Amino acid sequence: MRGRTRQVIVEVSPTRHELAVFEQGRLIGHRAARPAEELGLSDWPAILRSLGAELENWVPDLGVRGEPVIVVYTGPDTAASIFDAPASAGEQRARLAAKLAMAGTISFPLEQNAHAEICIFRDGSAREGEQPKLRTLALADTEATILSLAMTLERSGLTPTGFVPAPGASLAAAVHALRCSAAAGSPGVVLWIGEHSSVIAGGEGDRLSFARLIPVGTETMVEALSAPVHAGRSDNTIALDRFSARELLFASGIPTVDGWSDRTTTIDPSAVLPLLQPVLQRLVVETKQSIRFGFAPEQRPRVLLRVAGPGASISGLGTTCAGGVGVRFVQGAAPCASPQDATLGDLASVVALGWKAPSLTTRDAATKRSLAATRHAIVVGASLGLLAIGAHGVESWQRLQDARATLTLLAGGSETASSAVRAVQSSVAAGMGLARAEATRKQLFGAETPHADILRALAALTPEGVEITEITLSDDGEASRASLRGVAHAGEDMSDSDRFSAYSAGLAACPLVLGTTLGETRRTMNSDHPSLSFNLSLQLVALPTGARTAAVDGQEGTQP
Amino acid sequence: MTHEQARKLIAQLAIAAAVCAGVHAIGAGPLRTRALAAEAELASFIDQHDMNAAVLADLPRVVETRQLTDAGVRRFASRNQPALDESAMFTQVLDLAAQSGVSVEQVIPAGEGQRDVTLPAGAKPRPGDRRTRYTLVGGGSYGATTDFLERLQGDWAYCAVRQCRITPDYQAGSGGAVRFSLLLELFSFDAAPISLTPGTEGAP
Repeated sequence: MRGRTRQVIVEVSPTRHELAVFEQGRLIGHRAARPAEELGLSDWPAILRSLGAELENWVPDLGVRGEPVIVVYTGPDTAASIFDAPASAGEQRARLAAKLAMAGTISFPLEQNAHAEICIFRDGSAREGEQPKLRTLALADTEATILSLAMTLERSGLTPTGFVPAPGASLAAAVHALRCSAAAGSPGVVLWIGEHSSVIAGGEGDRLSFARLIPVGTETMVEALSAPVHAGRSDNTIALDRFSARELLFASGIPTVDGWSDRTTTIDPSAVLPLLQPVLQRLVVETKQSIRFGFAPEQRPRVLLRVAGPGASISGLGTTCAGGVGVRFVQGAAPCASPQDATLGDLASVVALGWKAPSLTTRDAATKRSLAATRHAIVVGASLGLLAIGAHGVESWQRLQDARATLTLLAGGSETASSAVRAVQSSVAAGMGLARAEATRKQLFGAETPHADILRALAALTPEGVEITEITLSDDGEASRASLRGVAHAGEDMSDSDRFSAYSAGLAACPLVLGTTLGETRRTMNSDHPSLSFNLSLQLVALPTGARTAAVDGQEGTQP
Repeated sequence: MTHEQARKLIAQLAIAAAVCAGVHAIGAGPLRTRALAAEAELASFIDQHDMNAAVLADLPRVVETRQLTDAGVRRFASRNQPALDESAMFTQVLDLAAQSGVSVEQVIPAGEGQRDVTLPAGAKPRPGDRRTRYTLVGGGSYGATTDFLERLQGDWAYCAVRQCRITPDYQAGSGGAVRFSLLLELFSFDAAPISLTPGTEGAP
């Protein structure tokens, strides 16, 4: 109901059908009817037929077709009870305990039918020797009851969203009223009197001592009043119908031995009082017993009794019950009780609870709700997954852009470095080419015969009297040789052979000559002087290219 | 919950998972792969960049080395010229002869059809490696011939005098003139940069 400004409530019971429309918490439309024939809870199909017939007219009248509806009902198999569990056990275990306890009290399998467990009160403190308790309201009803009710409402154009068992609502409303009215150090009892059942809830401060459901309500009193009674002071007896009895009860209240509070009533109070006495006595005894077992002896005298619910509008009921129980009666509704309490039936409990009444739902609806929740979870999960994937993609995209931007930035700056690398590579290639050329040069052209130096040396070493007719120098790259062909002449002081020997020795001593080999020699006469023609081979040194040095003093050689 | 409802729920769950997986496979997955590849490229680039920066620091030394190399290459190019260009060889030989005071009467290429002599075994030839032989015939004074020989073995070319035959020039009288016949071998050496790419350095 949260977030809605318009609330629609349907109440269904054997004695009354009602459709109420609230807006902003104020009653703006209301239809109620009582079945023409006497119906009991066992006549559930008839009750629903009657309700359906009424709704056929009410729904269009009030313009609530298609609106979500809370249904307050009293069904044939409805079960409601409050179960206690240690507060330390936690709500989940407390609900489980209440569920197990409820399963033991009903005649139908709980799991296959509608049920609900709601924690409605947690003790803030505990009596000495006890521990705080968690009060769990357990509701159960057959699936058939809920389904039939739902179908009836849907056929009438309404959309039921919750099914509130009237006893359960009364229990919750009584506890709520007690919580609102309880004061520390002042024990109190709330007697919530509904149409078909009542609740006695007692407690002190932030502690709930008891909450009991008793099968006595205003309709019980109406039924009692329907028995034959004496009218006035005569001996005539009349039997009121339920309508008249209900009107008498709510208009004149509970009579005393002194008479009616409403002086216009002509029925003899002494005749009516015995009719009501068993019902009142039941209320008094139940209340007294509850107080006796729920409060310590020293608390009992201080107990204040409040009456709430539809029965609160019955004049004299509160004082009668308080007098019977022996406690003080506090007039007036509880501070948070609804002003509609008196005019509406059990739906008053829903109003009193601020539209947050504990409700049941059909298994089909529960399954649909569960499926819807699961689908919602799937959609949310998929959305989150897509969101995560999107974030992942965005993050990847960002990283890609960053990497590209950095690459672009570095590429610009690295152009110079790259050209330097290319320059190095080019330099290395050039250097290696040069080194290889140099190596080849050394291999092929590493040494050479110093021809000019040889010729100069020959010129310097050839003495007078030795005539060279041919000089042949050869260098095949591996060895260097010189071949000399000439003539040595005999002189006055030296024979030709001595001259040649001296010449040959001089050549052999030359640093450029490694050795000499004498070839063919022949004695000849030249102008009557003996001469020696010769062939002489010289093995020459080869110097590294460019390292030629004058082995002998360089001088412009003359022909040897 | 009925089996049908459970089946529908599982199907919806599978569809949702498939949609997520599809979106991931189509969108986020490839994007992630591209981002990782770009980052790997960036890391490699940064390494390269660091190396290049180190090279950049050594650049002055590299430039200096390159200048020396280039000078060496130019020197080779200059001295290679006579072996590669006959007209250049002829001009320079005549210049040297003129400087020495000898007359060169004949320049005879050694062996028609064998002007280019292959390099000896063991050498690693390159496209520009070459050697040629010429015979020079001429005359002059002994001293001039000596000087001519010295100049021929100078740095005008890579020139080896393989054979030198000197005889007196009886026809010229008693002036000390000689006749000479020289067998020259001229070399050229390829000093071009080598290719740093393996396998691209070819034989001539």
